[in-house]
Amino acid sequence: MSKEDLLKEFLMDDIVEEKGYMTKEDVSKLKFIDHSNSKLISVLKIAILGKNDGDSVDTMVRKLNQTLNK
Amino acid sequence: MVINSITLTNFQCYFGEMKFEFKAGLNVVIGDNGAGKSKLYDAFYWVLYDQVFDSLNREFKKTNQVKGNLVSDKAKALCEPGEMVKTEVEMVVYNPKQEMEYTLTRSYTVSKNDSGVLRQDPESNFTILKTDKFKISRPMVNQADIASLLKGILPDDVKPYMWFQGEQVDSLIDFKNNSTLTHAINVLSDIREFDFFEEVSQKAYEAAEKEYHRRLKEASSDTRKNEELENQKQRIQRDLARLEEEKKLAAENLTYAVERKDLLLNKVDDAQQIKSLNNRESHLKERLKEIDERLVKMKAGINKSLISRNWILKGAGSLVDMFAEKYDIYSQTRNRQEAAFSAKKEALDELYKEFRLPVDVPEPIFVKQMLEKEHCLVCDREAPNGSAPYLKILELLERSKAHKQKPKPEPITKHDFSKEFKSLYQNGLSLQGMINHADHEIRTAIGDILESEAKYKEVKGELDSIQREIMEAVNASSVSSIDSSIDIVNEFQSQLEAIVSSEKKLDRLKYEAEAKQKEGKKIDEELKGLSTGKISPILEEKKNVLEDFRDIAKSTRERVFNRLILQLEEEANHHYYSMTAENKSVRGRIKLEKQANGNYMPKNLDSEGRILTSINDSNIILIKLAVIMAIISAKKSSPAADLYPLITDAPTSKFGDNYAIGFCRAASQVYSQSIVISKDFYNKPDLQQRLFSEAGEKIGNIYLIEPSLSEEVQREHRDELEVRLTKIR
Amino acid sequence: MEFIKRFEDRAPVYAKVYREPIVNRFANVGGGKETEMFERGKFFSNVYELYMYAAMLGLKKNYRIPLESVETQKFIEIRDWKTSTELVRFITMALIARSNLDMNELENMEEAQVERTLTELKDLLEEYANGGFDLIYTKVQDEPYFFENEYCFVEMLGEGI
Repeated sequence: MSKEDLLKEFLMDDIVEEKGYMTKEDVSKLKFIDHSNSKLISVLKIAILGKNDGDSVDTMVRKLNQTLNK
Repeated sequence: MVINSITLTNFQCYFGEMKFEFKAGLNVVIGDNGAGKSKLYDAFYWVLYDQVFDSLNREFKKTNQVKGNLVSDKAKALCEPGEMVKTEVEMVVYNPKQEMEYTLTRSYTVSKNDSGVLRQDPESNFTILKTDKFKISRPMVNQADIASLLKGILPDDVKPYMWFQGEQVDSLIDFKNNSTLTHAINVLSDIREFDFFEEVSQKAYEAAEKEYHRRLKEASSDTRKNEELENQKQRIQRDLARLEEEKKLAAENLTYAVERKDLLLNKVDDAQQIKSLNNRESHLKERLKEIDERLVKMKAGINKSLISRNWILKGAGSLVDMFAEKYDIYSQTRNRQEAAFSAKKEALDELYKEFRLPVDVPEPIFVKQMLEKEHCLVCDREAPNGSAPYLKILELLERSKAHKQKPKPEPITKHDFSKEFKSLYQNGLSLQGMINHADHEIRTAIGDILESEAKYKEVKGELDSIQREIMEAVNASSVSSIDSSIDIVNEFQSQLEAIVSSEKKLDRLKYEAEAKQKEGKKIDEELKGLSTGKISPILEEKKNVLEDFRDIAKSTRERVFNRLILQLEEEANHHYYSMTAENKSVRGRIKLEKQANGNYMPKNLDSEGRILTSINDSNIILIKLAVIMAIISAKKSSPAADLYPLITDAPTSKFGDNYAIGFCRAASQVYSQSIVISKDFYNKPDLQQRLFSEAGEKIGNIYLIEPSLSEEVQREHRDELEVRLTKIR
Repeated sequence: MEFIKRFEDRAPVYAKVYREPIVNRFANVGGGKETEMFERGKFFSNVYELYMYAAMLGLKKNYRIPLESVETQKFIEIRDWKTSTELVRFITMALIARSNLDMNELENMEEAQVERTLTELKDLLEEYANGGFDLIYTKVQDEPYFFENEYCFVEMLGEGI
């Protein structure tokens, strides 16, 4: 799956709308490169990029931890 | 990767050098049994994996286990002492993306020493040559590169689904093991990506949560209470884990029960019918037994009656009459004799009348005494000797003596059998009365027997027809025997009960788990409440975001998986229909059904959604193949169909002609390159023509292989066996 | 009961030639439950019952065959034919009826002569029984399937009477 598709796939989950992050309509308009203040989206992007780069699970966990500490 | 060619030199039944060239699309190698099809398959396997398939033990064997058997017998026979003979397989693959060609060569040598004994090498030799677009070749030596290349040709976990022999299809998607489909999906689709995210999110969340709780503890006003709560929290975690285990188990049980119930569903109606027929049969057998026992008793009794009821006297009435006549004469005579006797007696009495003594005469002994005493005791007077009273007394004495001498009359007869004869006569008379009834009694008794015999015949007829009905029902139904019909009904009942109880259990477990989780949250709140200092909001936010990430990752994976399943179903049915296009009759529809334990099982349903039980073997294999192909074709971005070739030897061996065409057609649509080694097209030029037209532009090369010897002869003349190769297209 | 008692002291015999084909075949020699015995194909519980049957057959048809110069087979004294005394008495009566015994004369005979008469009566019984056996045997030869019927002897009663 491409990065775009992956990101959209996650954000289309019902939980996203339930928790008030984004509406489904906004998700369909979203592009990967768009800047976002949402920590959730940052997390997703890091995870997707890391997967693409072939990061290991532990590496990913560390990266996410670092990002969210800022 | 595309396989451009494979060249076999002295490999097993292939004597000399044989080259097969392949293109993209559908390539077919046609050969009859014993022609060398599975040995060709072995060649592919051997060059890459240093193994060949032992069909006898149904397992792969390494070179060092097989050794000299790899080499063509003819080549070995022709080898002179002091010389060597080598077997070799060379495969050329092409990577279109990198425009790189790789030549993989594996060889194995045996040598004959001077005395003609074969020396076998322990291992084979393997080399790879890399040729770029400029046709410059270099050997590959770097092990990491080699490993990567081999993986690129065909990764291990994908291998079973792309390179398989007909016999292996069954285990790839095992209808009895519901994790095989899940496994295949995991291997062949990109669902693994989402597994990765799920794992990452879970770990990240756990780390964040741990950190958060640590901070809470540090900031807590009451470390003891904090610890207490932490312990409680841990207990809850353990309980939740345990509940999860129980849930898994209950789900497995439920899945099993549902499977069994579905399987039995079709059989139950039949089984119940057979069961009720069976009951009637038992009942009739009982009755028959009763009637038989009664008959035996009656017949035994009837013979007994010959004597006990005097039936043997039937018709003997005249004998009584005969005797009566005689008896009449006898008794009359007897009467006369008795009368004469009486008369004689009377006369005698009369004759001795005067000697009759008066009533009041004393006994002779007193008379004697009176004479001696010379005294009459009667009148109490003196009776001197010679006096008148004395003489009177003497006379009395004389008279009694005379009376004693009176002769008795002669008896009537010497013997008196009158009483006995009378009893015989009376016995005869009374029995004669009975004789007249004997006829009636006999007729009645025989009549009863005949009636019972008729009843027996009737019941036996009923029993025979019921037994025929049962046999017919068993043959027509899917129930295998009369006994199993009772088992089926009983098992069906118990599985229904098991389903209800498992479902109840799952509900209960879910409820319990929810309650525990609520408890856990409460404790979290309490823990939070204990902290006096402020927990960094960043930390809290981190925990929350990662929690959401975890939930989203999990939910997304499930969503994607479910979608994949639906897609798979659609693709599988598409392939299945394509494969069975010429045999539409009984094929049903493939459904991928979710089990309680989370696994998916392929089911074959009829138009009403009921499970098709009457499908034959070929359909089952086709369903499995269709599902495998669907997994590969459904994911457009999956590399499998594009990069890996399908190599299969005789998957259609159980099929009819039409299925063979159908399979090839489907394969040509799904795989960018497929090599099908099959016997179905052998000696069938019409079928081959249809193959060409069906596969259309997707058709690659088509070969025909034939052995130099027939299969029967091969065994004795192994040294002469070789394969002839003809390119048809 | 002098006469009857003395008659019942006798033990009549039958022709040995009938032992296998008739006596052993149709009579139960030895004990056993009625239905079991029946299932073994025996129609008479014991030899004397069969003997009585044969005797009656002969007596009714007035068919008798002397037992001259044939091997004979004993079984038991008449007084031990316990199943039915009245039947035994009936047979005795029938024998007297069929014989030329003069009952009045008998009463006037000497002991030795009475004994001889009793012997003659026993002989007569044997002859009638022999006749009965002959009739049965002939039927066995001529119509063997007749005896496959379980109540064949009942049916035989109705024949030729």
